[in-house]
Amino acid sequence: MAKKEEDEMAKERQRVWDSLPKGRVYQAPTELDRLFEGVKYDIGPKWYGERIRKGEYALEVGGPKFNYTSTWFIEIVHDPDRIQDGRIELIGPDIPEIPDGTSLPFMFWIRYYGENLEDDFLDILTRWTYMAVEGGEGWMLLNTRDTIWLRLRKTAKHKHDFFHLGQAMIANTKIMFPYVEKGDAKIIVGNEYRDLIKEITQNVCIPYWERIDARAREFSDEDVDTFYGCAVCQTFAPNHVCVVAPDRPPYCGIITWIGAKVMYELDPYGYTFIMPKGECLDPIGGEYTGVNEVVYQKSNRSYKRVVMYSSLLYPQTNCGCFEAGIFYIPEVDGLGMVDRRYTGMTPIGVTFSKLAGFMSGGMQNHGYCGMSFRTPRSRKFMVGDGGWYRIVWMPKEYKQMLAEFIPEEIYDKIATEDDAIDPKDLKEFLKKVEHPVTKLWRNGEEAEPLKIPPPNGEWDPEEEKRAKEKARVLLEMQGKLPKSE
Amino acid sequence: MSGKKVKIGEVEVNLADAVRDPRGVEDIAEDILQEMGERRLRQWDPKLNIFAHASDIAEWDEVLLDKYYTIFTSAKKSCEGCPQGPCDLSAKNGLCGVGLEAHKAREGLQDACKALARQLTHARDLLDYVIKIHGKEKEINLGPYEEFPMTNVAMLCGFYPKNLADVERALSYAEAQLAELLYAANDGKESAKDLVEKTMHAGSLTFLAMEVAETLRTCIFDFYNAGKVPPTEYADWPKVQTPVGLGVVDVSKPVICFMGNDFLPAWHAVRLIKERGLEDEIEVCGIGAAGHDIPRFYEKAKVVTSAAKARLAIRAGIPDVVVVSELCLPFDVVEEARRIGAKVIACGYKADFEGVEDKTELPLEELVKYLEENDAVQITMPEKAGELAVEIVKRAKEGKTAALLSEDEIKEKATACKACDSCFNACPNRLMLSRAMKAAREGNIKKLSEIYDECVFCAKCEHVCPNGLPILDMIIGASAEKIKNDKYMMRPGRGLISHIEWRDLTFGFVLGGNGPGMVFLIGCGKYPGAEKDIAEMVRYLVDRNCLVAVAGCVAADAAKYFDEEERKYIFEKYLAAGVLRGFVNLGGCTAISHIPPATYKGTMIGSGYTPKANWSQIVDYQYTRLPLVVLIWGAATEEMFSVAMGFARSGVSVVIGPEGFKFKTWLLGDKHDRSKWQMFDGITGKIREVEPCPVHMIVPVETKEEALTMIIKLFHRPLALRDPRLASLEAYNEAHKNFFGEYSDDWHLYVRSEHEIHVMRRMEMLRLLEKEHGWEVEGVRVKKARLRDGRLVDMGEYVENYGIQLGRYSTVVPRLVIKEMVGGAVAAPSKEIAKMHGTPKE
Amino acid sequence: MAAKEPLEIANFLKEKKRKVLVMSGQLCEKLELDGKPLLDYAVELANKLDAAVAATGNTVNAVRGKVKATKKMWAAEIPIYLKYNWKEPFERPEVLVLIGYTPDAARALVTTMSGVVETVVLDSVEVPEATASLNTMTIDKWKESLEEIIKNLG
Ligand code: SF4
Ligand code: SF4
Ligand code: SF4
Repeated sequence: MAKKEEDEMAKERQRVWDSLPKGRVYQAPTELDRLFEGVKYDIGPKWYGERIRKGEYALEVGGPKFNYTSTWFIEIVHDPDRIQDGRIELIGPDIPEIPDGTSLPFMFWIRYYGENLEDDFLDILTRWTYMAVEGGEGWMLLNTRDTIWLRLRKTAKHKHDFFHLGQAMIANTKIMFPYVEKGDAKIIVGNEYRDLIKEITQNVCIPYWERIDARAREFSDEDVDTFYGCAVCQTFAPNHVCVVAPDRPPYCGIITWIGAKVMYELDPYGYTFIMPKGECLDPIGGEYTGVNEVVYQKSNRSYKRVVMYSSLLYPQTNCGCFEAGIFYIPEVDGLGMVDRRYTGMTPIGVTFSKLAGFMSGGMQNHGYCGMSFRTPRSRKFMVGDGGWYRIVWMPKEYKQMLAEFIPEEIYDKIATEDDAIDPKDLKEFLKKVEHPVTKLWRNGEEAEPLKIPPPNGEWDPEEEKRAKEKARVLLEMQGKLPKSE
Repeated sequence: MSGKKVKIGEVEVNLADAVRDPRGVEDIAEDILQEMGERRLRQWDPKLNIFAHASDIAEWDEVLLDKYYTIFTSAKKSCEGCPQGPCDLSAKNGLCGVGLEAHKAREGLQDACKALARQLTHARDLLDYVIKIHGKEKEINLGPYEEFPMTNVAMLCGFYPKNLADVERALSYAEAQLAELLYAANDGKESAKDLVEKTMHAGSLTFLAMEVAETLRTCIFDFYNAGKVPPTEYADWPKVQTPVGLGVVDVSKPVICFMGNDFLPAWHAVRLIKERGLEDEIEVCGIGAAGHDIPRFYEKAKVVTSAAKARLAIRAGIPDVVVVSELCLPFDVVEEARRIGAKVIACGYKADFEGVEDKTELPLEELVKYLEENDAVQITMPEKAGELAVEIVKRAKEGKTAALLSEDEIKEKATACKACDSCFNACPNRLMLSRAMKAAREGNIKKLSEIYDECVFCAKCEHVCPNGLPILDMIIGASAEKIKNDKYMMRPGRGLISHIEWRDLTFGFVLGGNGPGMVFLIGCGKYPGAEKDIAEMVRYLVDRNCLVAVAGCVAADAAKYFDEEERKYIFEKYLAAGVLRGFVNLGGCTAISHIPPATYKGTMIGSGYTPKANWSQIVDYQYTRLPLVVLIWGAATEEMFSVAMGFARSGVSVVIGPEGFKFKTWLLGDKHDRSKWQMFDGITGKIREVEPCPVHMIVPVETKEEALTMIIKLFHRPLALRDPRLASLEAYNEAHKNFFGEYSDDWHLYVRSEHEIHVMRRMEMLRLLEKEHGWEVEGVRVKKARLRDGRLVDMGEYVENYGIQLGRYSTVVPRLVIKEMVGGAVAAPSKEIAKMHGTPKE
Repeated sequence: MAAKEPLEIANFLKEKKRKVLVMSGQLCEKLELDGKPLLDYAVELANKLDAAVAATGNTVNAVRGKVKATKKMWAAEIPIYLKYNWKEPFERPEVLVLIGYTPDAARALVTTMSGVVETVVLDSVEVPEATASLNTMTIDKWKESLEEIIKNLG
């Protein structure tokens, strides 16, 4: 989006902000040492995940009762003069004034300014703002943005009012993310504002989110010149290194590329480090000279290459915390996937736990790769091996869970434990459904498996070529081969 | 010894180097080495403790005993251990050469051996019984969700038992070990340190013995067993269905009360009751170990109280028939039962009471008659004991005489008190009975009923009273209302924490989660304060995101909380799964054996090592990384001492309540001594200074506030990840400040970056670092930090010099420093994988 | 050494210029000797001796502000600090006075410290392992004895 358009949108947001009905205005302290002054409730990890049922809450804002017409809007403002730091305005009744058991629509509009704040940080700012409620004593938080739903426990009511809630949100974000220099907030509560909230959400919030989400979606490995590495799991598994890239979130699911970037800047002595991409050696599989170099050093010189979107060729190592695993089934020259909830047998004759034991420990296991539940959502999911078309087997429940990410045309062709567990049966099944991998087989009859090197070994160059060729065949079928190739 | 060589990939291992004496265990050794794989064999020289003697685990024990001081509490200065004695050891060694410290250590070993003997004979009885019925080929199967049955056995013996023959092999090994340890406990001439190692060994073996008994319960007798139930159901499984307390038993019905370690008589009684459709006519309840076993196979069972308070249950007049097997806290059951006119069936060879005759051989009708005329009988066969109990309970009820003392009777009896305070000076809880007696004399029995809340019914007071006051009866009589209202519900024990469950748990919780740690609460009752304290401690910890698992009698007391607001019992309030804020009941006393395996599983999942006679490898890992603490609240029995030593050896810290001051040994660290708090960088082998943590391995505390604070402090581990570090530091600061009104003098030692300080306290703590410890702070960030040697350095240097940087592999065992990088090397895949793959050999 | 009379104990404590540290255990909070909390005796004792109080259990809250110096400490840790690395905040004591511990705990604590520091246990039960302790006596007698010691400290 053009800069000019963005400026226009910012102006429009400011106009709406200024035009809101007048409410009670409070001023929170802005000196670092006093940021939380007066906040009577506690914020911390122990308050996460509270569930508050009907009858237990003093106040419910948002949620199904109002068809989710409530919004938590966090905005990054680039003009410092527009924000009066610590100013909190409450439009509507305050918590102590509201009778127990009431449900109301609401809107939190929190704005931040910081010289170094980029729009890409919205997700992080959101997380740290939410933390003041999600990790706040007495609160239950479900959903996000315009489906937000909060409940406040009766027994904690006396510790809360909206001013201090707003103060705590800003304070929490400032402490967690020192890039934030200023913050202000408007809190709108009450049935009479329902339409107003709807309107702002439609006209202001949704376009803002769409713009930022679009950026994030488009944002891919090709758009950045630095990846990040995380070796936190080396504590557990010597030599293990995770590559964190926009298209390749680590399998622990804890951090994202943006998250790693911010973490690295805030805490250079922590566990993330920088990985300049360097030259691209394989755009399909995702191999970069810079990545290889850093991985070599950080793995205590244990392995030299990582192909980021492959589980066959030089896959990333695993520590032990993956939620699911992918494995090569030579009899059918395809890949199977299994998640930790599945306790039965897999076509390679081991259960997930056995497989996990074998895979973990920071070793490069060609043909095996750990994943988070999120990994398969990536557009680069195993493209180095042929993408989804290479997947031949998954436990039924896991498959259902990932249904929306599996290309429709292949969904029924992926076998589950109901169809086959034994490789022989699996082969028959794949033939019957004409699974794409059968195109890799000799006459569509016999698989010609790859010679996978042993763990930490190296691929035979000819064999590596064969592997890449197979991936190309499958990608071509999906129309996924980059044009330039 | 030159011996067999095994080739794993390109590494050749001489079995004699890996195992002290490989003869007879070559197959086990080879199997373990295969599974370790070439890569690990290149990294470390393997050391396998197959069928371990204490000294086979010395490598680890020495690391531990070097870090922690062994404090002996025994006051004895002379030894009468052999006919040459007594020897005064205060100035010189004894005639045999034993020194004073070693002599004290021997006393500890004796205690541990006693516990081990009790657990072994129980396991042996049960195993023999089961083999008689099923034969040795009977399979051991803990269900589809547990692939690693009997990990305590695997850790000491090197294999996972597949059938009863394997179990017997393991048990025989443990029995032989006991003989060896007993020898040392009485005749040992080794150093105090060696004896302490043996005491820890007895602890590890106690787990093994308990595990045998527990496994047979779950596999053969179908106790609730989480291995058979999908983890998705754990959140509310088993159901909260077991009534707990003195008030839950319907005493208008005939009541059979089982107590002791053996559940078999109850098993058979219940079978019969079901066959005859008497479930609603006969009350089946249990006390102590049996109390927690019966609800795992009979949903109508009730738990009366813990073993330590068994006397109370009888004096309160609850049972009509008492079936008793060997007791962990022995007391004169027959005499106590006689007071209320209840009949006693002593079951098993070990339930020998003076004056009680063994009449096992009599036919049932005659036994019934015999018991009509006598108070008690011994029956060695559990089937018969169970049957007899069901047979006689109705008649026994008719003959019973029990009645609580009335208020007037109490007042009258109180006049006999001469305020000599012998009772006060004997009472472990220092309860001021003479004052309560005085009040009663003057017409107020409230004080006596206040004593009820803290009394553990040990009867020491009665025992010493020169004027023969029936003190307990008076306390109980004054508390009739309390007894009636003692009604709660609990979740029966579920057995193990499954391997699959651990995967879910370690991931979000230990590795990167918001939970400070995992607490295992065990104990036999007999508390310093009110028994309700237990439930309070559970709530405190669970509310702070801990996972709490209970095992043993303490579960019944942990149940004593009802949330008025939510209208829920404590067991209903929390999830019963192994997750953050979970509260799990593992089962009775033998279920304590699930705890070490639960910890090993965390290690297995994090590291990929399978626990199999590789003690240092597994324990080094969890000791340095996993926030695991055991809390023992209540009686300092030999069992508790033995398992405490066992836990310490497994790298799990133990906090023990005030009775723990009586433990023969404590294992304490000294946070001031920097030389003790070091680790090897696992890659370079360089020594690094780390935080003093976990600062103690076995530590007694005085109050529940101290217990909670200490538990949280012991969560700290040098290699814990950031989020758990933050959670435990926050919880530590919170607890110390709230309970003691000041921050601790050591919290700053656990700070490696401002990111590890709780957000709401961050500025406050940063200012304290500035003011009290001379750090430099800029905005919300630490600019310079002070090393323990006093140097003020920037953060880069700080993390280089103090603590293990996140993401560095480290160890406390010198052998486990990686000796060879495996770059480009070839490691062998496991047998199964290789088979399935036809992985080409190069 | 065996049990001693209150006067002897007072004299023992006064003798020369011994450095005394009072350890107050949890029972200080729990026990009242006919209306007067045991803790008050601990505080008076410390003040008469001009000694600091190592407050174990939860007692620090009640002791704070009433004596010249006090700090939350852990009973089991005191023996190891005395044996190996005594650190601030208090001067390394020559005599420890224990008050408010169960006889079992007191016995274990003084045993672990024997040879390291002299110990005086002021409980109503004799603790033979201590350098000095009171006799086993009634609550009334105990109260009197504590008062007598305090009186005789000057
Ligand atoms: S065992 Fe040793 S110290 Fe004990 S009595 Fe015999 S000779 Fe003396
Ligand atoms: S029975 Fe109760 S009052 Fe008597 S000594 Fe034991 S705890 Fe004290
Ligand atoms: S021992 Fe007996 S006589 Fe003495 S105070 Fe206690 S109850 Fe009274």
